[in-house]
Amino acid sequence: MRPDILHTNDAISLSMTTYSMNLSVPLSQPFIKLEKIGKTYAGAVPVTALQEINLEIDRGERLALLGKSGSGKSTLLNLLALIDKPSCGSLFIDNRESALFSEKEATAYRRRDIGFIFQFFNLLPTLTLRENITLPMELLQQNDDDLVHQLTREAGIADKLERYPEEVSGGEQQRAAVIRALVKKPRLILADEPTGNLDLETGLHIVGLINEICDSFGTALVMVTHSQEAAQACTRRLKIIDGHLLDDV
Amino acid sequence: MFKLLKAFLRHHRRRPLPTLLWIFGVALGVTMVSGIYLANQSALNSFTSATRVLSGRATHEISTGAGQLDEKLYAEIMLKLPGLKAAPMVEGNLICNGQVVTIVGIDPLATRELNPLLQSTLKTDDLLRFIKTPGLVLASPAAAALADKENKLQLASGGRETSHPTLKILKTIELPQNPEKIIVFGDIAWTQKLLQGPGKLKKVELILENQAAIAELKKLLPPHIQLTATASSNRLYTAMLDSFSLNLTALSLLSLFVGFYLVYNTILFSLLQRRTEIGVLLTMGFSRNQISAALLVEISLIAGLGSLLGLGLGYALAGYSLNIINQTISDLYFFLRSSLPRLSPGFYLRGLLVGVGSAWAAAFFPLLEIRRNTILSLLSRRQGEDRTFRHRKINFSLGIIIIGASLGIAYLPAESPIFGFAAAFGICLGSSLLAPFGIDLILGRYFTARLPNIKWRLAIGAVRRSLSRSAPAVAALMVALSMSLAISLMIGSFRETVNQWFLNSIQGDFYITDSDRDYDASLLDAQLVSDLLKAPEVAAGNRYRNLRYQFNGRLIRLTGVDSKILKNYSNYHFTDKQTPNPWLEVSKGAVMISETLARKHKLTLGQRLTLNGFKGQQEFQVTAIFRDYVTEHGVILMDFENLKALMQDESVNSLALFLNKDVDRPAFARVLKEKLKPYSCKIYANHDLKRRIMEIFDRSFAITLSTRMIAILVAFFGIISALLAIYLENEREYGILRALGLSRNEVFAIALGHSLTLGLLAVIGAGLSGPLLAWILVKVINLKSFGWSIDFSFDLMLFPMTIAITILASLAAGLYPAWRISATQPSFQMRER
Repeated sequence: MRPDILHTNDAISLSMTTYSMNLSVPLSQPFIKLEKIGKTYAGAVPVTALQEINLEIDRGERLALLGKSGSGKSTLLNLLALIDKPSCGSLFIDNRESALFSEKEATAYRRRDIGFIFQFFNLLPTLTLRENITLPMELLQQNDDDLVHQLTREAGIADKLERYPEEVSGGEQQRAAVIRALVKKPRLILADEPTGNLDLETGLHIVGLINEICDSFGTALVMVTHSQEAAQACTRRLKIIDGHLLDDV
Repeated sequence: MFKLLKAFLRHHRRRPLPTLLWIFGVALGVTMVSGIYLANQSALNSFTSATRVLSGRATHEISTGAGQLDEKLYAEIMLKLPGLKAAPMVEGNLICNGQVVTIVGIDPLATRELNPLLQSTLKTDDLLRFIKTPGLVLASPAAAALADKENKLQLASGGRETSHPTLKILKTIELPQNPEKIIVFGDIAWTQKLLQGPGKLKKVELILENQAAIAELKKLLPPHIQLTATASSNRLYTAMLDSFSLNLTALSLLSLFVGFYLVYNTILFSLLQRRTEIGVLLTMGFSRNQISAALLVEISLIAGLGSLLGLGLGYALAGYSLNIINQTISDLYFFLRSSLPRLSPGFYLRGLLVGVGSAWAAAFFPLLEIRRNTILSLLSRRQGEDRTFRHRKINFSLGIIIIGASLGIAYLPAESPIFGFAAAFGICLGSSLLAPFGIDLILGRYFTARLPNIKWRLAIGAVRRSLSRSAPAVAALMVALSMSLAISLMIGSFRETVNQWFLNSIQGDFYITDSDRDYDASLLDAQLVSDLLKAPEVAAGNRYRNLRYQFNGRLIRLTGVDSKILKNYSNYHFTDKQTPNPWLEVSKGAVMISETLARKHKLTLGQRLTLNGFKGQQEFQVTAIFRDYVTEHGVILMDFENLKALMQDESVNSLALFLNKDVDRPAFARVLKEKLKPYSCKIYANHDLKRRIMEIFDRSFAITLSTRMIAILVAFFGIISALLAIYLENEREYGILRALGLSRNEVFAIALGHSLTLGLLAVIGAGLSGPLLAWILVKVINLKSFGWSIDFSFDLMLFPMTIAITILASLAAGLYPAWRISATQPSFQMRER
């Protein structure tokens, strides 16, 4: 049972009656379910990024999304993070349709359950690595220095935590970004080409780190990648071609 | 939350220059508003009626409105109302050691009842000496400072007596509320002879405790005697400064408006730089409210710093401008010497509210844009469609509507100039909204594609592409230039109008006056006047007698002239007249009124005015309305003999001499100077008087000109801020250009081209809005503030000068950003961040 979490600073409150892990939903039910999801971007020439996507993601599952540039991979990630809305279809989180989520509930979902890893790291340049890493926990009014120490030691950046992002290498930045995403033990990690800006060796290390931590926390993972090696580390591999999802490539 | 705020604040440490510009923008706005406010308030607070400094308990006063009260009335009132607490007073201003000294004559026994300060200062022995000894005075500390070693004050101007009285200081009287006042108090017996003349008082101050007492006194007062409450009488003087203060305040607010653009541009740039960061924070689960709150705290802290800086600079500006204000008020209205007060908590609070408030206002739209953007668009590394570009046509339409509405508001039938100021602000705002579409129109693809040189296209293209950065900078500079142009056009028109008025109205060869300030008490010796008028070189002479007169609750000028002389020796500009030669009517008993008086009091030709004289009331018909620029409060002009009869006073303040045609003017001037030596008079040849009037004119606009320069300075920094923003947005492009083979100098020239483009766009806009603003200043604001008609004159040289200044300023503003762009390594510019 997830406890009620009250965030008095911005009055976001998670109550059992609104968004919560619903115990009445059996564990056999998928964590996230997409039914006939489509996304079209309006414009002078409308662009259809996704068509008729049906997908279920179970707890602890690790998915790799493959596909050419512009095939809709990142769009799917954005939908899963509720930072974009589908043009048609339904997205269920814990059996509750996301279209019914209020802005506060969507924010609470991202705060509590989602960790996002970006291709370009997106560490806040004005915070040290330590401050970047602990920021999500502070948001949840949590504090776990031991976990931070453990994870950063495993990632090999424990001695660089007082440095600013621009003072460390790309690989070290991405490791910090991975830990930032995972330190709050989210239910789902969304990684958008986490190795896209790194060399092969560093990229493999990063993927290894992600998988390791997801395993230990039971966190689900959806990773967009071009890297076959990264995709091999996942339990399921999906391919998006022209907005359509193909299973088990 | 604290960490979020920390992250936002550290952003400024990394980019100090835009932050400094932000602080500077806020500081300048606060400087102008707080400085002008403090100077205005100091001047207003320092002034009190000279006698008010003593009569602490007086509730009312009786006077005739011209300060010529018959002392028999006082005797009669005291006889019939024996219990009444009343004190007679005389007052005048004379010159001592080049300073104006106010002399107040009091009945110490009566005045003690009204003011305990006098009671405590004058003990019994001192009191007897004070009453018995002519020339013995109580002096304020400021007056005492003028005295010689023997504690004497030698008056240079003799008032009604031809001898030059020497005043001996008995004691210093502390005036805690008016420490700067140069004022002395003497017994009424001898001061009356010196200042008002035998049998005359300036006024009688009283304590009337209730309505019954007021009613009882009123029964005894003849119709030409006014009974006014003390507060109202003090307001008479401060009301003279209303228009002056209002105009200064409006100017300071206009500077704040220009500063607003600098702050807006800097905040916008700062927030847009952090778009991706904000998107990441939202993805992490921060709410928009949390982020907005942290940003507002950040903005408040930075603006707070700017406000504190502005308050310090504002105090300095107040000190500088107070001297000018004091001088201008003394030139135009009444002698004033004031100093800055101790700073109150209200001063700081006001400054902080202005600074932080303007920053919040500037941040409103950028914050709204951040809030409105989806998380996805914030995360996108592409800038996306420029919102300013998208809304350019809507803004243009809105701008046209606002300008149209402003012109409509300007001509609303209202006495107050407030609508005029609102219209001026509306025109500035409306013109600013035209900037984005205007820039796009002028720098459109059609124009840009036809430029012969790729470098010119690059220079101009960046300005058009970064519309959300360039439009506010162009708007700020355009508003500053418009204001500058408008003020220059207004001052130029006004100057030309005053010049023409002088040529028409002031045609004497020489003017003689005892003092060129506070004309009421500065009087020419009667024998001297007679001798001068009889001089063989003199074809004619015109005597002037000027009095301050309370008319419909306002202090105006009542002037007596020799109408038969001026009929032949002047060419007054009449805006309306009953007969072809109004001077004839004036000599028969009619009056002429100035245009400003007619406007402010809604007087018309043929109307009969009732004036309160020394002995009673008298009616005069208005036979003509004329243009006058001596005072905005209005003039009633009548024949010298009629004024003499009305006030029972044949004093002359100044004399104009019209010489025979064949007289050698310089030789006559030498003779005149010799003759006037014993009298300490001032002699002005016609051209000297004109120069003096123009000096006063120019001095009165000194603060206006300072405000104009500050606004341009703010806009100058706005351009720097915009250029830095454009540079950062297009950084990769510059790196690519260098990688493609352009030299540093070529990139420098392109960057400087951005700056020049911004400046020229602003000048085009100012060329359209400036004259419109000038029209509002001349035909609405000046007219309703001061009542003066000003003939609009267009100095064509202003435009090339403005263009030249703008080009220089733009190039100067572009130097640092251009250097930065060209000096940075291309690899650094092109790397992914």
